[in-house]
Amino acid sequence: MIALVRYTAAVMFHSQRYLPPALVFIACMALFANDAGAQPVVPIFAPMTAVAVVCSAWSTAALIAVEDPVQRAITAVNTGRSWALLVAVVVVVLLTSAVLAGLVVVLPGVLGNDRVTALDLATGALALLAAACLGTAIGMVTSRLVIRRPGWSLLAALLLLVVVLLTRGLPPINPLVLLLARTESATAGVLATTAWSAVVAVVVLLLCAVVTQVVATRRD
Amino acid sequence: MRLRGVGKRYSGGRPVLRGVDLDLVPGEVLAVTGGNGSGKSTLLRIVVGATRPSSGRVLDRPRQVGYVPERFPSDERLTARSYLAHMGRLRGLGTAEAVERGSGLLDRLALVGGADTPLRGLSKGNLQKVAVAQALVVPPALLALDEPWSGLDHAAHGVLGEVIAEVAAEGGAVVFTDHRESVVAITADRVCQVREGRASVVDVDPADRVAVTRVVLRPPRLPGPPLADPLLHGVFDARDDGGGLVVVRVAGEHSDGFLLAALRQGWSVVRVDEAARAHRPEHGGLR
Repeated sequence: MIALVRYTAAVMFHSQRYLPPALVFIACMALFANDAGAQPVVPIFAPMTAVAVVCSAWSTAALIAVEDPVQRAITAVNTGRSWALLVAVVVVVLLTSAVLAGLVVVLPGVLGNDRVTALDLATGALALLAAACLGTAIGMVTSRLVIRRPGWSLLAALLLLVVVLLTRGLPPINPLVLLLARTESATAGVLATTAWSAVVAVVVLLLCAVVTQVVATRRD
Repeated sequence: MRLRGVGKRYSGGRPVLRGVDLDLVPGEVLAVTGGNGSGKSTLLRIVVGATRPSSGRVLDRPRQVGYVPERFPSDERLTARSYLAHMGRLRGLGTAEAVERGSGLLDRLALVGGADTPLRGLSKGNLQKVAVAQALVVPPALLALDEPWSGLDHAAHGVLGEVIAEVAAEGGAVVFTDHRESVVAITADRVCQVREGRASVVDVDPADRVAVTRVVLRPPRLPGPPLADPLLHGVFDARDDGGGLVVVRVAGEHSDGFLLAALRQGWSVVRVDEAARAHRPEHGGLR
């Protein structure tokens, strides 16, 4: 599995398809978190969580699209397990998302914010993890493996992102973003709610991975 | 490895394959023939596990499978050496061993442009060499090649024939597709004909087998006329051995005439062996 993750990461980094979503994430960070040295940090995590959903979905769909179907067949034959290819994509996207999330979480400390607490940072890290899982799930089910036509694939991804981010009260992301936006300093209750959202996001990710694998196998 | 009642239908389309029963025997080379769109490639993809059959079962597929697709994708930015190292690691090799095996195979197949060229910068023939190398980076128990000769240069034809024979000699099952009867005749032990989704297997008649003589020659000091007329002298293939010598495989019954012609052209004979037995070529050899 480590060999497959290394190969998938090499394909992604050589293709440079990770760059546009990563640059969008960093640009949004500059926009929303430029005052992270002085202001309360939890409200900063709210928009960054929403951005992380979009960027993870984008990275996932791009990474799946970068490998030619014939190349994918060779990789699957050499690996011996076609589902492992999807797991490798998920691992690589989550690792990339974790690096980007790490930038947001350490930024207040770097900018000298002395009001930030460990609870605040743990809440932010969990919220960004939930966002990365949900974004990866959306990227998978709208990728080329499930929807062959690029136009329909993009439309489906945009539609799902709008629904997930803007439908009031739809777990796990919308209520979490609203909660973070209203919170000045994280409490144990906020952390617990965030952790619950992360659990829901992980379950959604697993379900979407199963759906994607079943559809992709039938299509082949 | 066995296929039993295998059928394939892509969504919304007519069946590509119907009720295919096929046994792949270790140490044997099976050719799959048929016209364009007859289902040869689909059958090969089912054999290697790149696609699932819509009906029927595939039994006892070995763990180490090498697969050479008909068209090797060319848009990867990884270098040939790096790609082969990754593929070797996927099949359980350590990094150093994977790099060594990959580089050795690229040397043997004479990759032009270098192992450190990104795949997207290689020509079709050189990409095909990388495709063959990735399938062999670990000796496969099952080697499946889809039109493997297409795009390969003259020298690589001979190497590929040798590689197929070696995999079979080491107990691997080999299956390949090709539409040229001459290639099928000198390479395969059995032939599976695919027509309108149905497959029928025929053994190659032992009476069709011919002896193959392997001749090692040193070229003349001054460039002269070509070695000999391949069509006239039953030459299967010829390749440089890398040390200034040329290795030629020629039908045994024509070997005396071939040697005489080569000597008259100023070539020098280094060694003559009876290499193997092959099937009778029908159209003057591989080319």
